Amino acid sequence: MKKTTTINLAGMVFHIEENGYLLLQKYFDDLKRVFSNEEGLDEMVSDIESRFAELFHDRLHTHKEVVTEEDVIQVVNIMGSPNQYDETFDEADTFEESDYQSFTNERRLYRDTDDAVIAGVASGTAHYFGIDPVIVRILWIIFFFLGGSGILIYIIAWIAIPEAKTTAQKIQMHGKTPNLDNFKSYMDKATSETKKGYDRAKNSVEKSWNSSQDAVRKTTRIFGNIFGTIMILIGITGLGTIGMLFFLKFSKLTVNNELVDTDLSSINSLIFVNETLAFWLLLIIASIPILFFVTIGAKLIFRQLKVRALNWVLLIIWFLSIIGISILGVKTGVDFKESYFIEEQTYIEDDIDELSLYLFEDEIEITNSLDYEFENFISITDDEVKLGYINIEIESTKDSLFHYKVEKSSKGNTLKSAKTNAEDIKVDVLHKNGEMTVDTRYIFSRENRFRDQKVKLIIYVPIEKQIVVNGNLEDYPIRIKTSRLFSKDDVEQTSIWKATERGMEFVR
Amino acid sequence: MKVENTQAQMRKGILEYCVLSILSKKESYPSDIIEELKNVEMIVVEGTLYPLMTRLKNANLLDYRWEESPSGPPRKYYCLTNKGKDFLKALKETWLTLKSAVEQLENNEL
Repeated sequence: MKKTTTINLAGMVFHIEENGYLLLQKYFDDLKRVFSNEEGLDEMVSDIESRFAELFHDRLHTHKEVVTEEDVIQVVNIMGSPNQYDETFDEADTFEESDYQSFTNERRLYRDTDDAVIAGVASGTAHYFGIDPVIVRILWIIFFFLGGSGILIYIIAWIAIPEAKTTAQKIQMHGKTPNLDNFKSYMDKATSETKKGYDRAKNSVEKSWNSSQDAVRKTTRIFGNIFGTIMILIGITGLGTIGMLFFLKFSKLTVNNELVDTDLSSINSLIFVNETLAFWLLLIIASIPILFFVTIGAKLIFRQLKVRALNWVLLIIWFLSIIGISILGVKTGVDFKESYFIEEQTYIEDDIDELSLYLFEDEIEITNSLDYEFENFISITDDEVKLGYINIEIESTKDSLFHYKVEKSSKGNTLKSAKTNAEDIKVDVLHKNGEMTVDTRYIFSRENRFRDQKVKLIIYVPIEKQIVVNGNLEDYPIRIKTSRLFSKDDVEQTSIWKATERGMEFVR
Repeated sequence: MKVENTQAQMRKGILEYCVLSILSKKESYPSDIIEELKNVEMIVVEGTLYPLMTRLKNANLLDYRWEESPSGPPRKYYCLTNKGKDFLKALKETWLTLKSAVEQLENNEL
């Protein structure tokens, strides 16, 4: 019992077995492809359909009402496969002609888009060398990790290697000369593929092709499963990490080897102009490569899985997101166009010979850099940003009074906004009875966003007078203008400096 | 270098001439032409004829009319146009020249 279907061929109705129908359909598809450049193609196709109708008609009689698969094969044999038509063609007429004329037993390199993860480069290459696609995919993955150049090579291969479009090319990709026999075997494969699933067809084809390689194939399959599992696990871990980074409020986060008292979304909102959009774009850009990882892993395990369309969509979204974030980046960059600089000078009127400098961070005095490692580079509250650290400079002056200068600078998209940003910076410097206390961090309001706000404190010491720098400031951005080279060792502990005409001098 | 390729090349040039000759005798539809060509082993597979017919018709060497068939689909009867007749005449001259050239060469060799 076989299922039949009804077709209209040149105005005549035929009952035809489904397998025969598929074969016939494939035949006409190929015909159209081979002669795609031919003028009057439709007319030619309908003439050929007429001939098919005639030849089918001859094969039917009162006791035989159905065109069988066998009939189709016989008629196709009489008509010849589309590539055999080419005998009468000029060589320049169709470009695909050469594909048909040069059919040999040699394999040709094509991309196998039926079994593709991205563009079918790996599976096509595997067919060419007669090995399992899993091996090639694993090699590609290793390649990607050894250096980013793997991606470039993949793209070049993608462009350079043609896609196997026609049945003939697909057969040739697997290293067989296309003739009606394997044309039909391919068709059978395609038919049972739709009916009973890709896997069975693939197994049967693989068996008939090379049963001696079964052991090798099993090994690669196990290998692929292990590798695929690892990739999926890495991928899921990666997605989890990204999720935590983006959505959880972390108290500490490492940025440029600095521990930061904030979370990623706050940092993001501090920099980008459209913070919500930027947040999602960054999330997408970070997640999609990892999703790729998962899909490739899944493909290694479940080979019948079709991930190509999904990966294409992901790739397009990824590129669009990158374009989006670039546009936001440029928009944000404009905010750094102008810079503004304010300085405030204060004289210490007290009659003192020595000024003692104390640095504080969150009201805790910095005494020892070993105890206190300048951890809180940045902390963000709902409406304020605290940023470290104020640059400190100490130099000698011919003036008779101690004085200091606070320099605040910021960027903005206009001079006005840069000025507003700079004026908004709050610096906490106090002096009393020969003691000077400095909060090492400065504050600006969060709505201004980070626009390269910077603060510099310059302390002027009159000649012959001294300054005491308290605490171990080895790691602090402090600069003392000395007549000789400044050594970090000098500020490892509380140090005393004397102003001379040539600059500051280390006392002890 | 394959003998099949050369054979195909040789047939290729002559096939147009053969089709035009068949049509110069009487109007025919493709199956008739195929029949005749097959009898003299000019074509291997039937499909070969169709692209050729399309090209000849597109070059205005052929014209056609439809005719109902007693059984089977309607038939497309082809005939030569005036241009086709001239074309055939030119081909015939060439063919005769070629034929005698080949014969002469073969005889000389003996």
